[in-house]
Amino acid sequence: MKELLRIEELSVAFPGQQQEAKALDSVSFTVGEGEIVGLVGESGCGKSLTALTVMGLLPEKARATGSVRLEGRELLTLSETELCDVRGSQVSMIFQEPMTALNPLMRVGDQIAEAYRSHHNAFASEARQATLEMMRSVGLSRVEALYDEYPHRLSGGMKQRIVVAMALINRPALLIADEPTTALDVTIQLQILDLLRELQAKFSTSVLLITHNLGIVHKMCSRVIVMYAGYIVEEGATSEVLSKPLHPYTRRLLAAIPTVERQGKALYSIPGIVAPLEERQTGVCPFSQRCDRAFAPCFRGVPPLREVGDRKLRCLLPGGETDELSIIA
Amino acid sequence: MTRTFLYLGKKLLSALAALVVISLLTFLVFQILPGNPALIILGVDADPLQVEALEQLMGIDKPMLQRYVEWLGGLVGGDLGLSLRYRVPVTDLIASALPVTVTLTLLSLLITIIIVVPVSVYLATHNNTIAATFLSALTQLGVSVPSFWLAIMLILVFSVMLHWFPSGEVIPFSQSVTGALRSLVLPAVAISIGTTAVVIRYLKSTILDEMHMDYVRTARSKGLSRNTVLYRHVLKNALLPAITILGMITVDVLGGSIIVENVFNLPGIGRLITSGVGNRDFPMVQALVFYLAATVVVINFLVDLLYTAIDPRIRLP
Repeated sequence: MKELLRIEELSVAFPGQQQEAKALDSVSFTVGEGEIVGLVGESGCGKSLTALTVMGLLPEKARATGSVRLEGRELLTLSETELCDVRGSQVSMIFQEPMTALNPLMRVGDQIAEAYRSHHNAFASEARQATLEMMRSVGLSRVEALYDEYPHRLSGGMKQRIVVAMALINRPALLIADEPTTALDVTIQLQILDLLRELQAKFSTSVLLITHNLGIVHKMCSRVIVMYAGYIVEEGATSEVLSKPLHPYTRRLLAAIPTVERQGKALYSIPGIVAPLEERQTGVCPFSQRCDRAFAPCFRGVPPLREVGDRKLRCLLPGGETDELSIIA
Repeated sequence: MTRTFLYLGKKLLSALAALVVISLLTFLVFQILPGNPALIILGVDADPLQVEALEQLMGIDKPMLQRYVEWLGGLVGGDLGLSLRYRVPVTDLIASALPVTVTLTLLSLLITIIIVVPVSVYLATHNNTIAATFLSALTQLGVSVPSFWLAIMLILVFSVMLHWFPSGEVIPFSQSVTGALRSLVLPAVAISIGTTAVVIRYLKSTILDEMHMDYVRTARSKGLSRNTVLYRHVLKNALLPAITILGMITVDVLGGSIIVENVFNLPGIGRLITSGVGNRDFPMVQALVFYLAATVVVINFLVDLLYTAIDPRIRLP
């Protein structure tokens, strides 16, 4: 598989009171052409921040170091004008909240057409045609009438389809979907996921799918990257990671999924929370605070991301030899 | 479309109802007020027979309900009685004062809007720079400086010292339109400095709020530049709440900027109010109170219209 996106040693830091706080630390991964890669973890783990870095939409205070290459082109050093050319045409993004993602005062069709026109030297009529066609592609009907509607008249699912149409109208090589279904009804979630899959195959777009839902990862992704507190802690083929998790954090994430077998028992939740950015300890394993198997070496330094077979793991415990799930259950 | 008309029809009806209630309240207030208008005209030492005759002439001896109905009829027909002091129809007095005040209002609004939009955008986009902090401090000053002092200073500098604008004389529109406008520039500036400062501070913070909205991120992720997003998406959303503030300011100025009109010696509504109250000119003050209240209703209705035109969400009943 040809490589589309290569992120190397990416760190993003925010100025803190005494010293900089690193929200992302030495993140490295790749996304191949036409591949769907899942990025999972709790809130505050750096998933969205990774996405915003690729989009070049980091908050002004943030400082990014390392390398983000799209089709071999370094994105971190691009000027704002160059980034505007990349955004929306080579990389697009879908956001979590379709309710607020659209401008309430602008017709939805015009909002899609705007994306087309900012990357094509097109007449209004051409942009309209392209928009109508794209609206049909995302499964909307009565598109002529829908073009002139304002966002508040549309349902959540329809709005998310509009957002998808907007993101894909310029056939980007990479689509970043940041929790695209979290805010939707369960039935609509499935529809949107199917739509994403269908369009991804049709346009051979690569997708970086950010989610905290391992069920979605299982359904959609060939590969999954697990993040914790700004670090990648585990990476591998979805089937392997989900069936045989190596990192204690991944195991706990899996254990937190309600299943039929555990019906009637109290739902498991991982004790503690992801430490807020300013309170994170540096120079220790990021998960050591919440890991019941942490031992002395875990507190002496950040474990390296080591290769275990085809997988990657940031943990000092001998991977795959323990079965904690039985302890938890 | 029919929905929109229905919505507007409802608004119009409620505005009319408000006007009727206002007319009743205004009328009642002036019935309760102590003081006999006939006595005011003739003086305290007047002959009781003479007073009675005048009361009859003015119609104050009739029952209250009848007088209210007559006054309401006059209101609709444009006859609000004679001014006790000037002995001319109140409507004529108001009609001659209105062009001055309306022009003054429009001029102040124009100045306010022209300055507010670019300055607020600059302040919002250059937040925390030295220039922006300085400008912010200036707006703080603009909010706190009293308008009468500003008016006096403007006259001193631009009329007395520089002779750029006339002072103390008002050229009627019938005589020269440009001349009339020239004589209204300084008063409009005196009014606008305060209003501009208020609206700038308000609009700047709404722009800053809007810039953190999700739709801004969506627009940026399409590849639109910061400025395009600002002007095409943010500004319209940010101006929406500012319309209400502008409406309130319009009401304020239309109600006669009493102080500024007096300092500049402008024959506008503000001056009528001062003279009416000072001379216990009941019919005039009663008409002016109704006028003031009616402006609030009418401007609010216009603001509603404007919202309907701009914000598609409002058309939903």
